[in-house]
Amino acid sequence: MMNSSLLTPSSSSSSHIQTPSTTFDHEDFLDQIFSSAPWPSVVDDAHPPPSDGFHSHDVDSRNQQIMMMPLNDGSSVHALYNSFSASGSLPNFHIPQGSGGGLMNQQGQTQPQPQASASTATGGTVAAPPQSRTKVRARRGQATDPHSIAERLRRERIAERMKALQELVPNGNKTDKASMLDEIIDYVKFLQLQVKVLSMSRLGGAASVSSQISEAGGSHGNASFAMAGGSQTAGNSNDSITMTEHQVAKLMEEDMGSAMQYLQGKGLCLMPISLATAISTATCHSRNPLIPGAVADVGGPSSPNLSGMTIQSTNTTMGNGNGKLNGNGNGVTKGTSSIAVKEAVSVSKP
Amino acid sequence: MQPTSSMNEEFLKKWQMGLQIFRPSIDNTSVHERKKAIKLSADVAMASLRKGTTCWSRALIEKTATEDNFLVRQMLSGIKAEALINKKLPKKIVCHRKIVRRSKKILRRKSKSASEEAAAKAKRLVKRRTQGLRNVVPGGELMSNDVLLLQETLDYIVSLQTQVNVMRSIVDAAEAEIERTVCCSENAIVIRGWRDYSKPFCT
Repeated sequence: MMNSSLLTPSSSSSSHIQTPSTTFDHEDFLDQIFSSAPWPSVVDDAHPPPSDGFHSHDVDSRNQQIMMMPLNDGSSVHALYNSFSASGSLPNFHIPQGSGGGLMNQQGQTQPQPQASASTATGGTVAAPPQSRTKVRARRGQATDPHSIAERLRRERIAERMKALQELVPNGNKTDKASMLDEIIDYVKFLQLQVKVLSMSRLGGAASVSSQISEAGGSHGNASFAMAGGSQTAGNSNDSITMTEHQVAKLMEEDMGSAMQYLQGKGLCLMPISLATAISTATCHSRNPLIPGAVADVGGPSSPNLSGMTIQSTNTTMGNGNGKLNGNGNGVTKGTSSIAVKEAVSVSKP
Repeated sequence: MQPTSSMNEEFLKKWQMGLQIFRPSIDNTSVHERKKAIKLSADVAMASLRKGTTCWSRALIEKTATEDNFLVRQMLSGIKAEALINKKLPKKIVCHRKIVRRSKKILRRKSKSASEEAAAKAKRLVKRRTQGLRNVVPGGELMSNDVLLLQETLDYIVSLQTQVNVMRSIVDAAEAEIERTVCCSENAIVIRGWRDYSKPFCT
């Protein structure tokens, strides 16, 4: 133990006691006193000074001999302290033994320990009957088992990081660990998909995207119709997205209304890019730079001259777009307006 | 911690450096190649920003090195590249499912009070989710403890955000440019709220 080690003749030429690093000592006033009070260099002396205090105590020759031995238990510190208070003179080395605890018991401040027990006790606890093992004074409300300490530390660290993640992830107001983890997973997947989509969409070029998707869809000639966001190399998690997109593509070829309905059923919507960017810029400045919405590109099936152009651009309102896309302008407008509202709602949620 | 503008700039620089490597062959390749080029260089750029301090960056670099070693070497010029590529990653933590299942069954036969069951269920959920997180984050399988996993996830999310920001701003700029020059027909796009992604992803 730290306390006792300082008293070994070999160890210290220092006149200060270092505070033990264990947390249990903080509440021990004796240790505080030890830390503040410098030990005089007499500590090194092997021989006790022949002072009055020396004789005033019940010391037998055995103790004298024992003084030469390296001190291994903390109680010796207390013994010294006791001698301090008792004699008021130069410190004396009164090393209590298991049986010699009479000295200590007189003071009634420390608990006697056998010399053999190299314990962590720092005790200023109430004098207890001699025990083979000293009890560690526990911090209030906390366990002393090293395992539980480690466990507690680990839990604290995890909680810290969960809190940081909560701030980072939008919609991270969940208190439950499992649902928070769920959100995190979804968010990471979403970001990864966004990167994929962005790297494909405009950076990749419209024609190439369209040709790729049409390849995947099987209709080679339909260069005008393209969807980004899913690719042939998509992993398992993206298969369903690709399927959705292919489904929507198919439906759009037949009837815009059904495509919209299908999307509605899934909770998705169609929206012109200008509106999307408007929404995203409106929301993204508020909290985090990331827009809670991925952008995938869908080219209208109508115009064949899309191959040279980028898909993503549109200046027109939805009304015009509907007119171009198919004849069912009214139905689509209605649908889209309602969906747009829904989308606006969902966007504003975080 | 939100992605800062300096991080954005650094990523952009590194990414452009990577894209330069593809420059000569950029026009005669298919979209697939192009997308791959973009994505790979972006990944390596993102990972190299961390300079090998985080586990996910090393795992990501290793993964891209298997696909395009030349690119990785070019981008991470210097000894660092060699060290990162040849660095032996810790072994994947593999549990034999049969054994795990059997031990779980044995455990389940023990006492089952109501509160215990609820706690056990919650624990199972959390465990399943952390496993899911390990699958998503690059190098997640190699992280031994949860604390490290969460830390890496944090860093990875921030890097992904910078990546997305930079890419998106480029796309927006390019779009504005094209809108001015070319008269485009009307197109619609599909927007998904990010929550909706979760539905198909739930496994």
